[in-house]
Parts: sequence; structure tokens; C-alpha cells
Amino acid sequence: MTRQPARFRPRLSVPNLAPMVDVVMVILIFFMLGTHFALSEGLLPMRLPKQVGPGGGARVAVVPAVRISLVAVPDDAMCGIEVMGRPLEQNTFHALRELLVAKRQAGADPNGPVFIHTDPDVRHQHLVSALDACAAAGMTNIQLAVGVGARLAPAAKRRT
Amino acid sequence: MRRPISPTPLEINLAPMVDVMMCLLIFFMLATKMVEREHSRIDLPAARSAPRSISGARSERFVVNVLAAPRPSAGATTYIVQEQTLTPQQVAEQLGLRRAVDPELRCIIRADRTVPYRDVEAILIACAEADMRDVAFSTIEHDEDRP
Repeated sequence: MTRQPARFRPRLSVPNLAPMVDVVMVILIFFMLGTHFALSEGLLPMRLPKQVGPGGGARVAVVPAVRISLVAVPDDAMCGIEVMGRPLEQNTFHALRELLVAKRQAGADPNGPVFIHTDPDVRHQHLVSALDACAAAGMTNIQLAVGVGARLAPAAKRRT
Repeated sequence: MRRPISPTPLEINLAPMVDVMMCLLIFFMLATKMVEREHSRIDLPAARSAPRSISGARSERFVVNVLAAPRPSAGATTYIVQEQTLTPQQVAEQLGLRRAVDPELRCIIRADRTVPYRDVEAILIACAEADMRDVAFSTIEHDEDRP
């Protein structure tokens, strides 16, 4: 069998994948970073009180272990913090956390219900900061008080 | 005299790499689309102690986005559920329908940090009336520059 000259040998045609790989790598990195940012959120869980809802006819008076009130003040950067009806000496969420930690160290049940009442004009950040202070102090049973019945009309809200 | 050895062309087989990259790309594209449909771009409140995960399957959670008005005089707060702008009444109706189907449903509220509590309370009241007591607020990691 005679060997063919080089100019008659069939040549393999291989597509150049390098540009495609470049583009796919850029797109892949974009989606990886985008997905990471979207999922880097935390969740602050809580329970709404049991006595609300359709079965709220049989309301039970629950005595909270700690009752926190967030009161709207003219200074928009902060709200007033009251615990069991008394304002904190230092009106900060750090002081709230320290107070709750002290209550726990004094024997308060960490599973005892912590009720949070919030004025309608208080910003959402302040409510979350109060929840954060409760969670950081080890309080696990955090409940929000909401008005039920006359709903979705701010002028007609009723507090429970 | 010996003949010089002709150099062999070195070729890298990129096909397996392209396969893997395409699979990864499709995975992240689908995952990102799922997140975008549930979430809107919101300036979330900061919290230090919140766990950094979204627990539960997507079918077991009801995500409500509460967007602040761009300016105080620009109008009311906007509620978005799966890219649909709804009124609080419509959010309550959808909550009731989903809750009737799935008793284990959890409501996740993604509210802007500047929104007044009355606008968040509207969603909480809707949850309470639907007998959905498992509620969670979305937060971001604590930022020292924020209050």
C-alpha cells in the first residue's frame, strides 16, 4: 500500500471552542454572583398570638413574661422603647437586649411569651431591631400583637 | 544521519469542560430566575441574630414584598407578590386561598426598612385572619452604619 502525499490526506475540521468558553464563563460567573447575593438574607421568625384569626371567639388572656412597646416619637431616627410600660433609661436596642439578658439570668423563662406592641408610625427597622434584641437575648417565644376585626384601614385599627 | 522528530500538535479536548459549564450555567440561570420572581429589590432592615437561610421549599412559603414609596409625597406603599402589584386586600385574599390549600404555609415579609409599621401590620392582620401564625421577616446582615 502506497502512502498518499500530504496534500491529499483528509484534514480534521475542529471547531474553535475558545470564544464560546469565554462567553459561557462570563455568563456563569454573573449568575453565580447574582444567585449568591439574592440568597444572603436572614429570617427573623415569630408567631402571631393564638387568640386571633377565625377561631378567635374563644380568646384567652395570656399574661406575657415581657411586654415591649415601641412608641413613635418626633425624632424619626429612633423610637421610644418601653418594657412592661416603663421607658428604658437608655433608649437603645442594646439596652433592651441587656435588660432581657438580665431577666433571663434572674430566672425568667426563655420560652415565656414576649409580646411586642408597635405604634403604626414606627419604622419597620425599629421593629426588626427589637426582634433582633429578643432573639439575641435568647427569647424564643416572640409574638406580635396585631389588631383584628376592623382591618386594613389605619383609622379603624383596633389593638388586642 | 537521523531524521529530526516532527513536533506533534497538542490539542486540548474542551468538550467535557463545555458540558460541565453548560450544566452549571443552566442551573444558576434557573435558580436566579426563581429568586427574582419571588423577590424585589428592597432595602431590607438589618439584624445580627437572624439565621442566614431561607428554610422550607418554595411551595411552603408565601413571600410578600413591601416597597416604600420613593418619596413621602409619591403615594402609598406597594405590595408585590410574585411580581404582581397587589392591594392589601388582594394580598389577604391570596393568603387565604393558599392557606386553605396548605396549612403548613409560612409567610415571609420582605419589607423596606423605612416602611411604617402600619403597612407591615396590614399583612400581619391578613395572616392572623387566615390563621397563619408562622411569620418571618427578611433581614440582611447587621450593618454598623445603620441604626
